[in-house]
Amino acid sequence: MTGGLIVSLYLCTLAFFLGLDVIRKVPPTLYGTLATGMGAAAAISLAVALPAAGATNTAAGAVLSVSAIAVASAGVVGGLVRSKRALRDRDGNGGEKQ
Amino acid sequence: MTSLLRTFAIPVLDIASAVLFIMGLKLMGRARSARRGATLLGLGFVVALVGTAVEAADLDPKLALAGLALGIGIGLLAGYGAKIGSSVGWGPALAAAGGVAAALVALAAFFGVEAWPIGGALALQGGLRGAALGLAVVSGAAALGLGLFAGFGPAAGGSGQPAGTALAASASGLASAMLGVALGNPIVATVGALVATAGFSLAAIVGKALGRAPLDIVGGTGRKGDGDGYANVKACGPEETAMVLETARKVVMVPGYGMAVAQAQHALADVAKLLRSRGADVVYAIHPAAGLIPGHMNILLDEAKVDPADLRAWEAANQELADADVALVVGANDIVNPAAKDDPQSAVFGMPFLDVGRARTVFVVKRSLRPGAAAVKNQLFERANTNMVFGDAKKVLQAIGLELKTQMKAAA
Amino acid sequence: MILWTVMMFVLAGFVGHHVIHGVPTLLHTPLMSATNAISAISVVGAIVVAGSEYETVRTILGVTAVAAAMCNVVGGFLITERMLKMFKGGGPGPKGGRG
Repeated sequence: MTGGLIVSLYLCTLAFFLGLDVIRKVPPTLYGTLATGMGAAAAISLAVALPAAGATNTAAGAVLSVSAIAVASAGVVGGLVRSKRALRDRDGNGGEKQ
Repeated sequence: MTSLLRTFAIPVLDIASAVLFIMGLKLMGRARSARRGATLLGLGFVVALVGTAVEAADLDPKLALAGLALGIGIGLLAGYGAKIGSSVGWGPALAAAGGVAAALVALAAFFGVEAWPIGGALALQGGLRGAALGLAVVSGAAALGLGLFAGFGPAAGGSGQPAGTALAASASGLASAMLGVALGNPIVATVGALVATAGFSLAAIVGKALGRAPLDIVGGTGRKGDGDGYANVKACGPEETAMVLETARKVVMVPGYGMAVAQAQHALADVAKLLRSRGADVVYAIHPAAGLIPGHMNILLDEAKVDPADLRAWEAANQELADADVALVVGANDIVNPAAKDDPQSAVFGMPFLDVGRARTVFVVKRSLRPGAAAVKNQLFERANTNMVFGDAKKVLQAIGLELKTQMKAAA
Repeated sequence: MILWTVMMFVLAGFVGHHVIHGVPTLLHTPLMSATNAISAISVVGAIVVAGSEYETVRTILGVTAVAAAMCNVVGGFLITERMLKMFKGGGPGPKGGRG
């Protein structure tokens, strides 16, 4: 159990550092699109929301988990759609004025 | 048999998903690969969800599917409904969705779920679990606050809006990470942590470009203008400029007196040659008042062996600018000042002027924001699609050329 | 448990790549020497084996491993230090550093 915490800490620390390094020199034209993409990625919580809905047996649980799923999937779909649209407009370069 | 497959499939899928997310985010930071990056992000999600489905195959899917249907519907509406780049926005609020969802799941784990069905091995217990879940709720709330404030608050719609979106995404990521740690789900923990710092990094980058702290940008406070009276000026470096130039199909060079002072015409011609070798269309806009005397620019460019056929007089140049991807202004100020067209009070009003703002993106290479001979402020520098590149023109252009060469070699 | 460990492996791989990416050529040799020294982190495992109550053979192996690893660590750092001292005045100016 404490082992779990330690391993998780390691994992998170590594991922934290990665996050710092993955985003380095970003052209100003891509700021908005990249940020939107990140927002979509953060909806990874969907992956734990789904089992929650499956395992719940109280009304509160049902409401909470279904809303979580709805919000998270909205976040993913919405974010990715917006990113794709923004990128399609720019066609590899400056896009619509952000 | 199936259970053995499951035990193998789940780790493989989770790791594949993590890798996809990492590569996806990384690629989205480069113009030429940004589209692929977005696709990879989507793929990462699909794989993660497949992994979840495999792991949770024994559970009752009805509620989950209902939630998914609802969410996908809302997402499509949000994604296609609003204009891209609309100033007030759901953009930043969308970035908070992940965090809000994480908070909700955390609450569900507190109240609604008796025994967490999967990923038990490394889940936290008792007090630690509660703490992590609590953090998830707090971060999720913070994400929502940031997202709504950035999207609808005082600073909405500025060139700093990406900062708010990035911060909201960061808080969301943190919420997801805490949730993943609490429940023992490695993919959620990893991607969450990744986004948490990535969002922070991006917000810091935007902050540096605008010269204000990211939170200031969101709150609409901080330096509203510096000594020269300019506000919302975005700056970037030669490498970022090269990254945008690299994918441009049409570039208009706008040389000015600053180029003469720095003797940067050779470096400029080199950049043009590099861009041409990638198939881009490059022309030079020659304004009659550029430099000290009419023809000053022509002499310098001729020295740099620029083909006179590539030069455009200002009317022709303005037509070229209309469909240009990038306008690269080198040491010019008054000749690109939109006040010549817009502001009857201005000293420069009525002068022929080069409307570089018509290009998709404008880069202005200058040593500082100091005014030109006409001694007036140039609103071009404050526009959303303008980026200043501060420095000596020759050095900057050489750096751009170097970066272009490196990128071309890497891409080859 | 395996999943987490492998995942850490993968992530650490990425981090390693990013940390090293763009290091100026001039610094390659001392960097290699330093990374060699820290690869002897295996000394931790060796200490555990040597210190646990195992039978003679295992303990001997463990102690040998500790000794070897410590040689690696100390020697590696010393050499790196000597290499770095050869750069007068606080390190080279990176030529064509991080892009």
